[in-house]
Amino acid sequence: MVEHDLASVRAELQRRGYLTHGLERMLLQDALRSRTGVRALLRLALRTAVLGGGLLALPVALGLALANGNLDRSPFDLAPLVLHLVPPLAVVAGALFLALAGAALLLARLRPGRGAGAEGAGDWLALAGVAALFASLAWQGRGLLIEAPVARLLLLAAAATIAGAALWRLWRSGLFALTVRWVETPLRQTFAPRVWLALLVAGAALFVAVPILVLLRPGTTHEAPSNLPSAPGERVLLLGVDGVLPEELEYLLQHGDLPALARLRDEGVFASYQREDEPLAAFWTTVATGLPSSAHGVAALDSFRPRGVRTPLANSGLLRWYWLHVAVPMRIAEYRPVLSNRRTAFTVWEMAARGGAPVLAIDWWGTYPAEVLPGLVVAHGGYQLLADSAAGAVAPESEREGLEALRRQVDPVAAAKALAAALPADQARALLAKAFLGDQFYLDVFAARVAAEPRATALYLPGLDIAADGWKAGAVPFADVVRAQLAALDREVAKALAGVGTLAVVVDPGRRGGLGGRVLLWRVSGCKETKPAEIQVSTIAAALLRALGLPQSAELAQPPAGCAWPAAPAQVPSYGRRAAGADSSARSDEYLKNLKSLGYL
Amino acid sequence: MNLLAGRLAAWAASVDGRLPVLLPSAASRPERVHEAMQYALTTPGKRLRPVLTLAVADLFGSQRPEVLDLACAVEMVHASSLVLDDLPCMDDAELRRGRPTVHRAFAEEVALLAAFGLLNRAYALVAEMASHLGLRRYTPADLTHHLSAAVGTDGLIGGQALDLESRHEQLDLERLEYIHSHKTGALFLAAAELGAMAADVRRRDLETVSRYAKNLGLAFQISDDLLDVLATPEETGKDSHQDETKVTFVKLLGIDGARALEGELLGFAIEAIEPLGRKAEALRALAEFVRVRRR
Repeated sequence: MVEHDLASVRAELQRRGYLTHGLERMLLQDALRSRTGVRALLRLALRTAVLGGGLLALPVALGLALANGNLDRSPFDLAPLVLHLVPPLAVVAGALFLALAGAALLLARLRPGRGAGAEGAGDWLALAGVAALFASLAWQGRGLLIEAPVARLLLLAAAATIAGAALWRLWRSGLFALTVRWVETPLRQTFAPRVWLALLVAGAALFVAVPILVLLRPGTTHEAPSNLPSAPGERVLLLGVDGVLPEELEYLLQHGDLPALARLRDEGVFASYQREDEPLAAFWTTVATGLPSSAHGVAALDSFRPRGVRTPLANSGLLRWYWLHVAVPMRIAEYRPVLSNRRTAFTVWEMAARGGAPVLAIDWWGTYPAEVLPGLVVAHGGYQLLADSAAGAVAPESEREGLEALRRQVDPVAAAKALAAALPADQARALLAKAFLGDQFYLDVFAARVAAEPRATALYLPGLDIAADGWKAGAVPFADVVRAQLAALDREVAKALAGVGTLAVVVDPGRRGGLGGRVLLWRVSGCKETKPAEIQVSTIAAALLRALGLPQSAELAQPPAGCAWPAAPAQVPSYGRRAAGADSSARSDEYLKNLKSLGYL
Repeated sequence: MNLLAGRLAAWAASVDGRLPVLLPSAASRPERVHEAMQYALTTPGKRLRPVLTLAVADLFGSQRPEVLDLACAVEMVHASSLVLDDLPCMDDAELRRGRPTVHRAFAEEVALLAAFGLLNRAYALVAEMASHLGLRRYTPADLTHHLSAAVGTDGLIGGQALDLESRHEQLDLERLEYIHSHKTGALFLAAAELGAMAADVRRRDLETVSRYAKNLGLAFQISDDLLDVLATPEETGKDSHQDETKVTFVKLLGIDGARALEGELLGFAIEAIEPLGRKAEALRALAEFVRVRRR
């Protein structure tokens, strides 16, 4: 009498290790069935690509989420990110496997009949490939991850180790299979499904655990306080100039070309600073908020939001190319230039406007679209945006007509002369329009509105940085352009100082090279203390906020030494976080075009 | 006879030729025991296990003479297990390989001593040959340990013990697998793994060989069960219907089911060595031999 059916016996035997080849074998062996070596190679590459892409997606997604703050803001972004990353990483894994296969086959051909040697070479090649890949990923992410908490870095390291080990096994098995198929040497394969299973379980556990752990952790939330205690305070001025080398500034100050600034230098603090190697948008937002990019949310000129991911990715490393050229055209990701509603920290002028006092902000990074505040906000790139009649160029909208009239009258005489001396007429005209008409417009707006004594004023001048991008007429003619522009600024500063309590001028080399710049801090009451030779960038906003009479936020640095700062009226844990704005992708096209035309993208 | 079959036969013949040389002469004391050892060992047989050892070593590029002695050691263990298996207190068999069983031809006590003598000689051979091979990855103790594990209570002895306990009991797949994997499968595994170790393969290569041998061993046992039901004593060279009181795959699945399962196991054994390329043809031929054997 037959008491068992074949299916149940087969299942039980499989459970006991019969009738099974193990996971690696199942995944790779079929590729060997092809009659031609080329087809076997392609099949193997395809399989290793798909599997390798899946393996790499988890640590890379974790790294991206860590670098872009997704883990804090929207931890469940991890799942869609992994799915988004599988295709590009599969291509990477497949291409690398093909490269390794080429090397392995070459070795096998060079040493015919030495199967064990080819096998050993495959081992080492796979190991070298994994090491190179992860070293490259670590190098790419070094700047992004440097500020990440150690616990999260350890988590990332664990995920990378699991994925690296699994990828090594995969590539190694693939290389062995290929070596055998092409040179008929014994395949030295490992069949250890339990190890694979353990790796998969560990990876899946990590995948599920990370968002949950992040959500469950006791965190501090920073609600924006509705009322901040404040002292009477004083008017403040924040000026930012991009594209000037420190030695150029010092030379011009020394030789009397900038008399107003030279006087302020002598009365105040003139110090150097070293900034992070980060995009201009991130740096200038740090200047205006006093917080690092990880806290203020502007980490790049633009960002990408893959479908299903809530927090845009500003830091993508090499994947930026994929988002821009593949994912965005395929409409599986959205391109988002840096917009004001991506910034999560308040600027000096936004804090100053809380009590209803008028403020003036002109062309500062991260201010497009212009958001309504008491006073006037001209968005970043406002000159070109006004010319394009783009929405969001200015706030309030009622100011548009007057500013448009002002824009039409712009005449940068000094810059035009310097350019005319350095470049052929057509090139000079083009560069003038690209770089200096905007600067002059911003200076004109500044001159016209600062007289209304806004409580806080911020002005950013990018012209020199834009002009330097692709400048071919030599250093000396460019120095003349620098002199002309800074002299124009110097004249406006001299006129604007009346009634100003504190001034900060930040001069950065921008894209001209180097991470060191100069900062000039001046207080009407004078700075008579020992003056530091170097200060931290984050202390500039702290100084202005203190001068405004606002309480000291625990998130901010203390004002820099060198000047006597008024006592803070109170201590608060935070000024709060700006709420994420509505989706402005519909009106970001003009801004994107503007950034591109200025050479930022 | 094709080339492959000829190769297998040549290996079997070389084992046959070597086995008497490795045993003490029947003329030396204790003569009866030595004679019984020779009788047990030199009875014509398939030599499947030692051929497996030789084929695996050859696959990985080792044709050293020491491997032949290792293969002979495996056959000694097998012969010893058969002597013990045939004893009146076990299967009480009358025929083995077409001849009277050892205890019938000599005496029960002589058979017992001969079995132990064969086992002892096998261990000595393995230890000696492993030393001569001078392996880089394995010590002589590793090889000896592999063989002893296949023989001990985790191997042949364990399988035989449960087999004896299970007679006249209800069918139980878990128990059946235990008996077969220990009583038959363990020595198949050891035979293949000793061959691989003798070729100084990497430890992970043992897994490839093990997967092949594991499936092959169970398939062999199922074919044995089938032969017990379907073949005549003349064909098998041993008593027919010996397994009537035992749990077998034939009882579990019926003849057709057992045949199907045997085919699947052999298919997997062959697939397991597929990536090894043409060099594994001898192992494929061994699996094929198990499929078509009539004895």
